[in-house]
Amino acid sequence: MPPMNPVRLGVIPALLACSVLCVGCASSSTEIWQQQDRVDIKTLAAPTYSEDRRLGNLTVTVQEQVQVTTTPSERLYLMHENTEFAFDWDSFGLVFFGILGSVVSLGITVFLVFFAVDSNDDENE
Amino acid sequence: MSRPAIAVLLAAAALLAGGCTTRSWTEETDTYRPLGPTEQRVENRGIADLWLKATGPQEEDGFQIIERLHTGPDGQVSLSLLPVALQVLAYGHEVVLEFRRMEDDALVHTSRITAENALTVLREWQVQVRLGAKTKLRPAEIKLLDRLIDDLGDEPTIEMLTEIRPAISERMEWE
Repeated sequence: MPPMNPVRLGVIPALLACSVLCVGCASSSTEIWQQQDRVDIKTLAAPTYSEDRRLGNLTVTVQEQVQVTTTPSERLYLMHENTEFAFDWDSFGLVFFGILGSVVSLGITVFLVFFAVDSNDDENE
Repeated sequence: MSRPAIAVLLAAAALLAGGCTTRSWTEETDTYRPLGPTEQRVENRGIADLWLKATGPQEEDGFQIIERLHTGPDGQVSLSLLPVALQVLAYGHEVVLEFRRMEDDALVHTSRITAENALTVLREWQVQVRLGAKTKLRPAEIKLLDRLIDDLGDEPTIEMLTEIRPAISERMEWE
């Protein structure tokens, strides 16, 4: 049986297809309306200072007169999501050694099941 | 396998291994959608986070009351009038506390403590001490209090000061 050529097996087109899935960039933005009252505060007069003497203490209160305008409303928030291809050695190493580990563990499993266990059975027989 | 095929395979593997990054963020816009009628009201609000400096007059021996005060959420600052009362009684004149805004040193408020006010303050502190209150004074103020107990001729006032004295502890420089 001739050695299997990965090109003929379609490995490369499959990998390319996978990479295309990864490379695919996407961006979207979602509109979110959140209840948030619109509040405008306008100072009407200069701060006033008043004092109160009680229990041997002096309390000074600083206040200002303000005009508060409140409108019950919703505020628009835009939630952006952007997916893009990014290469970094950490993720490359993770995937590379993940695949390598899978192949090795699969190989060990196959070896144990089809060779080691079989030979033991033969010996027992 | 040919070299271009290997190159393509490696590139594809790198892309595959590289993966994707998803970034999401929320943008706050200035677009509002009214839901009801607008309400308008006028109110007095306390100014928080305001730094004030309260100073009394400086005496010939260098005694002076200086306090740095910070307004709370309700716009209030509070300070003990006991040191001021002691200064009034010890130096025999009324004391005007000046409150200055620390950001621009502008005089924003004054508070006058007379001899009569000072005695009221002592009476109030006497009652508080009887109820178990404790207070702190700076070393110079404690000296002033001790001097008053020793030198003041007025018996009722000495009684008040003597009663207040055990409830006083020393206030550190940073306090």
